[in-house]
Amino acid sequence: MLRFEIKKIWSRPVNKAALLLLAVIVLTGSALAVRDVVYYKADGSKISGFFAARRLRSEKNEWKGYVTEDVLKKMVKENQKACAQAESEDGALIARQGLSDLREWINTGLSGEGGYDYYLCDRIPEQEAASLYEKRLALLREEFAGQEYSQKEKEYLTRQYEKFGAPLYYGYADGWKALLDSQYLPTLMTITIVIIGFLVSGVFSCEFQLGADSVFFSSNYGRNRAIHAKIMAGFLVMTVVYWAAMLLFSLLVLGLLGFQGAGLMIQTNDHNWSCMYNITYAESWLLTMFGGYVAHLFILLLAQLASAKSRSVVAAVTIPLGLACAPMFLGRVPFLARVMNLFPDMLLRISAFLRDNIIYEIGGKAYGVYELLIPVYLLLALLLMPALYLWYKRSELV
Amino acid sequence: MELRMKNLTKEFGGFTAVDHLNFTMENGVYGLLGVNGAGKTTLMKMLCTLLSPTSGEITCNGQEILGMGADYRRILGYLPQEFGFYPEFTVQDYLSYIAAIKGLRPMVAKRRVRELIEKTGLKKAAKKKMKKLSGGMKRRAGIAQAMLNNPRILVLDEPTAGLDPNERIRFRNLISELAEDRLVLLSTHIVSDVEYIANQILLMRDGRIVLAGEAQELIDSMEEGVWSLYAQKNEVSRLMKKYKVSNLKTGHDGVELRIIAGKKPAQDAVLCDANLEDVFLYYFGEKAGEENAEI
Repeated sequence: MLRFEIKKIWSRPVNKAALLLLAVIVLTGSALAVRDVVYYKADGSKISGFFAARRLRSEKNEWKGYVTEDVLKKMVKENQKACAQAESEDGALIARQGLSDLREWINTGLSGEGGYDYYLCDRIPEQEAASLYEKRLALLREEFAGQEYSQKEKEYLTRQYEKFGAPLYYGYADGWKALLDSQYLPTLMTITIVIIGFLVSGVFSCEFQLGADSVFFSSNYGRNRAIHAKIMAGFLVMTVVYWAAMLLFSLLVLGLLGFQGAGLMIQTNDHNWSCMYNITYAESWLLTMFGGYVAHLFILLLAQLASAKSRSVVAAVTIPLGLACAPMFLGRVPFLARVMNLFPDMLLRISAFLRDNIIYEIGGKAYGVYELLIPVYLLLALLLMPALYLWYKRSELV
Repeated sequence: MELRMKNLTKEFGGFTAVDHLNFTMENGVYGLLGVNGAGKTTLMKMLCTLLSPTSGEITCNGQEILGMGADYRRILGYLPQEFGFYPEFTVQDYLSYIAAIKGLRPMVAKRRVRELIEKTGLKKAAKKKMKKLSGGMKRRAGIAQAMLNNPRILVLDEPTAGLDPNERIRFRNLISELAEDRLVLLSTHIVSDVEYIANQILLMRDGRIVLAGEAQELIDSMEEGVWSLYAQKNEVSRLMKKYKVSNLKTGHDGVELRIIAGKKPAQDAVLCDANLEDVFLYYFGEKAGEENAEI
């Protein structure tokens, strides 16, 4: 039965076309993500992608290891020396590509109240640069003091920051950064959920759409095992297509840019400097992928439930589209933002929102938004399966 | 095998589709005749557990069928009026899938699919996609799926609708062949179909079975005679208003009419043998006209 249910999905030419489209999008997305890694040669010309990554790897790995106070001092000294020797700003940029990440730690980590200062590292005394870790907590406290956090939430944030392990280990990780710190992955997840929604849209409604419902429900297993097979077919298609798309995207990006840096903390990218989650790139990848999978399960099962109830493919196509995209726009309305941050689409954008430190206080206890969303939506997805079964089982054919 | 309907009623909003129906069927072929909206399809859907009754019940050998669940569906075969299928499946795949949801073990399923493909004359089309089949071949695939589990109860809703005369004859013969040792309920508004193959004919109107019996019993139950007469063309309109006219045939000398009437409708009218079509018209009156367009 399961084999035939899966065959029903893949026998539709339009579904084959949708899968092909997804493959093209994955390839295009990974090409764009890879292309974003750039390296400037001594003559000022720019190279990107695989060849840029090779050069950057070599230069950045000269700083590989624990970035202690001494390393920070040395980096500032070399940065300022390169600045002094360069004939132009572009020349300084080219000369400092290997230490650009560490330079940004200083610019981001020590800019303080005045906001980000791109030239801070070029003029900061070595001793002050060495205080980067020491001042981190104080400066971040200053930063979040002005934000709308409750007392409990501030305490939670402080505890998270205190767990930050200094000194950070550094090395080349541009592959992981291109994979996780860009907008391509969240965009791909949004497209994937819409396409999978399209693929599974007919699993339950096709019997009604095709007029095959009478034979289906009057058969021996029509109100039990055949429904299990449908749920399982939908689940397998969701799971296999989602993971295939994500693994292909990850393997292409990392394959071309390098797998190195999986064990580095995500704070080694200055964009994540104030992130409260003390995790490595590999852990961030797992969290992002698993969270995305939970969102897919929940949204697509909900879409199938609506499709089974309405007996139409429209619900199965529009629900993923609506839930994956609408909250993104509605969340920009200030008074809706807190509510919209609890919608399942947040799980499609974990890598992009980790650094936003979204916290909720519930029952006097503070939680990071993903500590809440992942278990809640996983539980709801698991509950949707029996709901879908019972709903479909009770179908009457008027 | 005994199927018993006790006070069976189905209402949709304020409309009563099946109205306190009481009837018992045993092995044999039952032809269910009635005009559109008589409640035939609703009754069949209840017999196939696709609809639950508003009140009353259906029992199979004494057990309520909804309570029997899968045990009842295991002995049931159903060809619905609107027979839907999976257009991209081949005939073989389609039948194999239905065999799977009917709970046939893979080896048995394989054998049954092969047997029924042969029996229904679909051998050459076995690898063809369902969407490529002609109307007649689709109906044959439909009867094949209904027979896969060798059902003790076979429900066929308008099985010959839309078929050309050759296909209809083939189909009727096939049903007759398959009808042995089982209960077959065949719904149709094509009178000649039931005339040939049904042991018992049920006339259904307004959700009730108004008459049941063998073809001759139904014919004998008519309290009016069937008359044949020739009339001028300008008289036809008057006669049609006055009598139930079961047939009209225009010739060179005028029009030959077949009229159902209690007494001789014209001096030169000749009493003739009634058939089931006359019975249909007699009991369903003007409503039957639309239905008989297909006869």
